Amino acid sequence: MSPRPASVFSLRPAVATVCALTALAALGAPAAVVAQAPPAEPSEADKDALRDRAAEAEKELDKQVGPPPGEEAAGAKGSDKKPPSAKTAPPPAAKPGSPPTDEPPAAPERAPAFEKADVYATASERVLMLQGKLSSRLDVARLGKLYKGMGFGRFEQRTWAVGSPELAAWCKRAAADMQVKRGDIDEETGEANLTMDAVLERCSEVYQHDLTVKHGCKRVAGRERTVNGKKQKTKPKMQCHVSVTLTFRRFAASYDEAGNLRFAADKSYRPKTLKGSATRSDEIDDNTPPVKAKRNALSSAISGTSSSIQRRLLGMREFQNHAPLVRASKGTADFCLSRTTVSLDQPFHIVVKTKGGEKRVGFVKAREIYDGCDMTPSLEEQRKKGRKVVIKPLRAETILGGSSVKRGMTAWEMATIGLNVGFAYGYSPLYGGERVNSFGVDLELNTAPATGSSELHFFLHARLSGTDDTEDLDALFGKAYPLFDTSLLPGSAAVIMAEMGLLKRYYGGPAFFEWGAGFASSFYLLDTYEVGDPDDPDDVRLGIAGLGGKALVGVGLQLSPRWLFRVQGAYRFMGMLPFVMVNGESCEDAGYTGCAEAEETDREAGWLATATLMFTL
Amino acid sequence: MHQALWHRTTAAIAAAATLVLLASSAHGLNARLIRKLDTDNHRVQLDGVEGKGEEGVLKAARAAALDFAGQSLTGDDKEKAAVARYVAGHNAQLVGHTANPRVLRRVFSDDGERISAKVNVDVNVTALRKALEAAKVLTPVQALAKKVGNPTLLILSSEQVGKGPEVELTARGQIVADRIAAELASRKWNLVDKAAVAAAHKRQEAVQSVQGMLPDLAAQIAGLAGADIYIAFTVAMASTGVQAEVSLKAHDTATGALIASAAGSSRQYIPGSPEAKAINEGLGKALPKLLELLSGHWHEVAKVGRRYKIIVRADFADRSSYRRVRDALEDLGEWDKTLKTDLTLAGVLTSPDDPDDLADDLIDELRDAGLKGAKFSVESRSLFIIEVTP
Repeated sequence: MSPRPASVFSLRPAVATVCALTALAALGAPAAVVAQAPPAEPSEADKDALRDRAAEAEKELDKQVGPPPGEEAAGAKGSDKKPPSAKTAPPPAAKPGSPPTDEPPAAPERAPAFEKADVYATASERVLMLQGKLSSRLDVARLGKLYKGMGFGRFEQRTWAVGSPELAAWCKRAAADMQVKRGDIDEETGEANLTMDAVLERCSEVYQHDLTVKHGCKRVAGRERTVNGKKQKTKPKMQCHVSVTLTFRRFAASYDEAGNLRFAADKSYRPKTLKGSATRSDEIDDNTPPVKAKRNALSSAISGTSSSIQRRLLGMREFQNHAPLVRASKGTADFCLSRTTVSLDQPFHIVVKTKGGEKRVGFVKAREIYDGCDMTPSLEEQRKKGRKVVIKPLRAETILGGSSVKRGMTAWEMATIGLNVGFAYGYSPLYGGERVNSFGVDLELNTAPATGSSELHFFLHARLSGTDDTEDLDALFGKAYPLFDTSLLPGSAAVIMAEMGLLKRYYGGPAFFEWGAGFASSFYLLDTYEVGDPDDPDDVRLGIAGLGGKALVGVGLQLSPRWLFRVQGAYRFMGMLPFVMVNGESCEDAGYTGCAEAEETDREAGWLATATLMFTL
Repeated sequence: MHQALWHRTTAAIAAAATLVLLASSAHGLNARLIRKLDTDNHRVQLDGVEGKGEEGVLKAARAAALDFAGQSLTGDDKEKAAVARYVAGHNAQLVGHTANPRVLRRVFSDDGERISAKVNVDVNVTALRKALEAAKVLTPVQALAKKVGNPTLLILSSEQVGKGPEVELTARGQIVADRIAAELASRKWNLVDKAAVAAAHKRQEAVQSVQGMLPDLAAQIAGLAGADIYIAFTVAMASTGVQAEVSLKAHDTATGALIASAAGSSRQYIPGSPEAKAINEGLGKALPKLLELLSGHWHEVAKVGRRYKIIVRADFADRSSYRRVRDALEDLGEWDKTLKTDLTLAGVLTSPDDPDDLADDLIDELRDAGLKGAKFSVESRSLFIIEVTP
């Protein structure tokens, strides 16, 4: 059994907290994640490809994807495989009169299994992902959204058949690009040295996927339920279920005796299957007709499903980007990956290969991304077409590892969907000036890949608290609703606070500073009770809602590549509005009199402090 | 004075440090030429280079590449040792002759400090050779050639051996012949021209029946064409893709003995690639090795003398005339008889004289020995056939 990758990070949070947050992360990871990294907008070529997929979906079902597995397995990659069979040239006949020592050499033997480059010493290439069987009734736009959501933007997606001339041509181009990057060029012509080994290496990383998408939507009638003993009928809704089965296969290239490039299923690669599903619904009401509700529910279910697939796909080592560091100094690390595969703020582990296995020594995040370190033939073509090509190594900021991160070490992509989930403890102000403890959950989604602004996070914070001192709250409520006798209120209140907005983070080694702003809201629940017919009572809720803004600053520490701790100070300011709800509706709508919408308002403002331990999903 | 002393001390410390670096990095080091990039540059692959950090390992790789490339410039063991010492002591000056170090594989020590790596380094061997010659560590090519009487070489394809001059080289053969010729010419070595080869072919039939001639047809042509050494080459192509294996063998014309042999295989290029590319690559691997061995051979020749094939045709039924001829030959150098019949005495004479002097001395000695009718029927740089008429 190979040893587990070691880590040099010694800072570890308390075991209990780790367990709690791991559980939290596990709960949040699958379809329940609330947001996902916005995928890149598909190119025109991608859109065309998707249209092709949809149109040919039925055909694809019955399509053979290539020679049966095993037929050409002799040429499959891997050191334990036999080399592609090839005859050796018969040695020329001996010439009469030739000196005995001058025997012609035997023609060169086909090299044994080609020596694959060391993954730690070479930059990863963009993976070619071919379309295999596609079974889906989703329309093109939704299928595209699903693909994006699953993280297929990192692949070069094509609909070519395995063994097609297009694939062979791609192989040649891709191998030429790879050779140029490796400096294996003809010194006289400057062209790439296209050796068979190079082609085999590059073209033995061809993947194909089968996708089966099942979806269904149904109308769920409003059902009666009993709340506090009172029967209520919920609104009808559209409910959609989406399930996805995604299977990956890998193909290995070999040359036959005639020198033709062939592809066969790589027997060393066991096909991998990812499955995900999600069910979402949307209520039908006056503003949301059934068609719209169905659209919303389906869209939401697709997002949920794709998110769960994406996280696991990113965790597949064969798809992770990696490259050796070409420079490391003063808190930065440079390596030769390009914008075709790396997005802004993409985190990378810094690893080294030792005799004992892989070892992590640092952690960096991609900050400046260009087109790689070499002008490859493909980039040259793009440049001629007018695209601005910048040949420069990617610059990453060293977060962990500091001076231990050195040139020659390898940056290896850390699988993440860019979502931080945290457990927060805070000291929050309440209306009337009291400050109370609060607990809650923080969610942060890095918007950098979509906005182009590094470490710009969308945040959503939820806090739960309570107070026994409701004098000021009762007074405000009493002013707004004089008909209510506030002396009858229980004297304690639950408080729910929610905030969302944007925050910008700046790193300096493992430490970071952040500032941001957003919307803030509070919900004070003063009392709940029932009125009316004892057999069919109405549910009444009295409370005060607050809506306003929040400005925050914070400092924190990156404890490990996935764990962060930060302390945040914020100033909240809100307008407060008392309310009376009956059966979930405004008091007046429920048919009561004397409880018109309150006009009396007040402000809540104050400083709050929060400490959060976050985990990166 | 103090400054000079200080400079010498720091230079000595630097040299010692480099030696230590080389010694430490050379542990288990495996170096090989993987490609001749162009006329001047070789790409050397070093496996097992060790150093502290990436900079350390690249520095060690450059030093090891210089050492390997420097030593491959000579075939003489003493010179090799001198080159190794000089390279180790003057690494800072010579490092400019290396370029593009590229790490192919790395294994770190557990603390992440030391690296063991496989590295490719390009070395400008032309500039390195000049530097080593200027430092008098390496005998200049011209000086070595002069020492051994400016040897003349014949490049011969296996396609041509045993056939007439009308046999044209194939395109493959022509590429190899031209490349070898260019390489030898760049070293100011003499090459036998086409006309001389054609003339040799014409005369070959006449001398083929001469007793004592080597049965090796290539050696016969080379000897008649005036070559000291002939280089026979063969090119074989793989049936899959485009891959060439070039074999080079250098023979001493006088003895037909193999004095140097090297083979180089190109990588396997995809079908449709130019054959010349593969041939050049195969040749680029083989030729430097052949030249290294040839250099070693010439160092040996410079010490003991050149070899000449001597055939004397006379009436040796009388034992005394044989003794006179033998004594005359032994006066000229180290005589190694290969054949003696009633009419022929053949052998190899090793002499420090150049061919012209030897020819004169040979005739003089034979005439002084009483063989007044001695005259050359064939006189070339390495082959002398003498007819002695009563």
